[in-house]
Amino acid sequence: MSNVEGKATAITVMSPVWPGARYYLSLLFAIARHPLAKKGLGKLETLSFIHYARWTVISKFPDGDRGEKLRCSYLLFESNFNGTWSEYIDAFSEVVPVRMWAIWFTSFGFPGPQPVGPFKQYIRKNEYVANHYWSAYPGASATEVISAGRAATAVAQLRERAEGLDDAAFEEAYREMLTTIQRGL
Amino acid sequence: MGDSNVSGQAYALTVMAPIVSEEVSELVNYLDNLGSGNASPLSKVGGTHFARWVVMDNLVFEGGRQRPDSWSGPRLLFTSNFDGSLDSYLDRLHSGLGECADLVWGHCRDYPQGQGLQAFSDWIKRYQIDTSLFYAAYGKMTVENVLHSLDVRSRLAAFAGRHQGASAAELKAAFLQEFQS
Amino acid sequence: MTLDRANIQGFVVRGYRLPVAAYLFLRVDDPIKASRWISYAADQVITAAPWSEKPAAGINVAFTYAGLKALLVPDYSLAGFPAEFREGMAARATLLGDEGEGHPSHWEEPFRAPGDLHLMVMISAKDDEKLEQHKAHVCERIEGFGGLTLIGSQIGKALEDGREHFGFKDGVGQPSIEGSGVKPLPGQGAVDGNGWRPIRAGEFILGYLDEEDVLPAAPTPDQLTANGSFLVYRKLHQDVARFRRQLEEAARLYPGGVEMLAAKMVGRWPDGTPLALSPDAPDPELARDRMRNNDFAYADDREGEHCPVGGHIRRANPREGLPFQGKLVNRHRMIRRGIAYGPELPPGAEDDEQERGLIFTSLQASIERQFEFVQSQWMQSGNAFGVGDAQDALTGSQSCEQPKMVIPGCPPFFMDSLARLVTCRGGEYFFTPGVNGLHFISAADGKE
Repeated sequence: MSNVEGKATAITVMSPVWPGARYYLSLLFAIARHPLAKKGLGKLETLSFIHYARWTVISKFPDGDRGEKLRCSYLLFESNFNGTWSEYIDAFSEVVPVRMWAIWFTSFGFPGPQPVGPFKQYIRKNEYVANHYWSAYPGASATEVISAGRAATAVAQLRERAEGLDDAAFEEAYREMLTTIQRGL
Repeated sequence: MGDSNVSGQAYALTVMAPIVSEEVSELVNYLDNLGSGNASPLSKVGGTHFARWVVMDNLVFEGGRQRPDSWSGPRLLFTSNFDGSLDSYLDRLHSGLGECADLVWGHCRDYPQGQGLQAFSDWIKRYQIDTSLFYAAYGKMTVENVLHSLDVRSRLAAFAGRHQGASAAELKAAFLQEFQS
Repeated sequence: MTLDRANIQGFVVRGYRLPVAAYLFLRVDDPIKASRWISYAADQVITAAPWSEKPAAGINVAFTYAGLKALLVPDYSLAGFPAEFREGMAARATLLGDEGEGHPSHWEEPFRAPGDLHLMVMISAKDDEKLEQHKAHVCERIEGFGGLTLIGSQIGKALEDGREHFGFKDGVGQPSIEGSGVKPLPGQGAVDGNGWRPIRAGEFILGYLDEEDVLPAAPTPDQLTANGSFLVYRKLHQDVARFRRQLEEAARLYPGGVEMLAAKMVGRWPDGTPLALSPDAPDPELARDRMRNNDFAYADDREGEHCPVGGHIRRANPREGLPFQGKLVNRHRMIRRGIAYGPELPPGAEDDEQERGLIFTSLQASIERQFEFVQSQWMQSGNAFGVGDAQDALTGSQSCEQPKMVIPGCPPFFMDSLARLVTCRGGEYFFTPGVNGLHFISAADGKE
């Protein structure tokens, strides 16, 4: 039973939300999904340690034919990231507190994203540990995957050009390629 | 506006199904003891980036203003980030997991044990919950892309170190040799 | 907000710049008798109160968790100490990268079987003679009170010119602490627009507001913990001969030559000139100028062409090298009070297999968020900087698959097959209380 697999860490949080909050949350996420609002997720990109993250508002739990509606609606947050749990929450608290607040302020007991101490306790309280966690590439961080993608493309492009270049021109092109993608190596 | 479960070509599948209460411990034991990495049954399901099974015994209760809530019983959460369409994934999930699918979801209340792909697929979709917001850092890359890219990157770093100071002719020949395709 | 300097042990707030030190490691055999010595020591420790004249010698005191327990500090206080402090450094070996030769099973006493290590007395002095005298005096007093047994000791002695054994000027980068009364130098604090501001005292000293504007988590009561700090002690062996050999070998293909390659590993030239300000050559005047030698933020050096992103000082304090204007950096700063140990290996000399290195000590409000985080995420990993598994070329254990450092440039230079240069010989986590804390500990009888 573990939330860690190689470099990947899993987080699963499901929090009860205020009555009626599901309408607010559905609207919030619908806005966030809109192409024009995509830059709202831009900061997540800069916080480059996230592979995937998802939020789901649950007002009715699937059950047989009719589903089960509970007193509260629930907000499910599920993510795969790198680095420690502590670092992850610290970063969210320090860098995107407004987004954290917008997503979680309708969850019962939410103390706000700052200071981070109570925020961490709140997440812990609402967290579930995975019974089985699997990754196709546990040895690679999100940043490494993205750098690798760039490296593979660059190598493929050079490979294609290579035959048609003489030695000196190839060396030049090779140096240029290395210079462009050096960060990820 | 498109499917909220999708980003690039990555799909976020969320499935939550009620577990037969008396069988929770058995299910927990089974999941906790599954091998990791290549020994995990999930490694047989092509196109899976990350996946997890989470047994959710109880709902969280915050006290304060929240009125206590209860549900009919514990739930089994399954999430997966995978490539391509849902239908083709469910096919691979069913055949890749094989017996393991029954051993896990067989503990859920109305699971169609041993009834084949169509029944399995329908059941999963019945218990699927749509994602409200999905973020994928590299949604355009398939698992194959990722693994291939990681391999190229590793080889390129080693190659670059080895051939520092090589002559232009040596360099080109070695490069063509190392990166055949 | 001003600090209660008379109650804070001096080395927390400022470096003494006394060139020799002794560390005495003690076990508590009789808590009542030992407490009497602690009560006496509370009046002897060097505090942060302003000096009219720098003392020729003096002491400071710190305790391990086992020590606080042995001294019968009440359970309700003990329960509030953070997990990593309670576990002790040896238990954190995997996180810190203390593996292979650096694994605690290879550590020296008294660190290898750490249950007996209860107290550390740090003696600072202005020369060898004074150190010997003061050490003798301290030991005599300890014996007089009884209840404490000496189980180990370590001598530290600064090298010429403030350098460490690899040949680099050390200690240039230190955080400036709000309210300390010590004049802040540019570059020491947190990035603030185009300038700098001191870091909130609570990042280093308990009982004061931290960068989140709240009090750092601390055990109760305030009488024990206010004005205290957590101290990380690590004896780090440096393989100087191997460092020089590796450098020579790697520099054969490096256009900048040996000295520049060494500077790229560290982030400063040996004389302390920062690469960020002077990437092509050392600048002795700049290196000596305390108003300038630390005044850089890497904002104009994102790709690390001047100072590599994986350079040692940049890993230790990324400044604006990480996004979000320092927000991801400000809570991971540490005060460092290290001193070298062992004889110098003269340039060009063969490996004499002598023990030499650095007594690394850092002070912080949270061992986990500051020391352990920097060590495990910024030194033993390069992912935060986009360099994957690459560990610090200078201090890393080189346990990853392809231990290397890529020196950014056009084209980049690959420093491959990096060997481990620094190995931990032993260490522990301590709590260094304020004078009020010393009084609390000496009066505690665990019966409350």
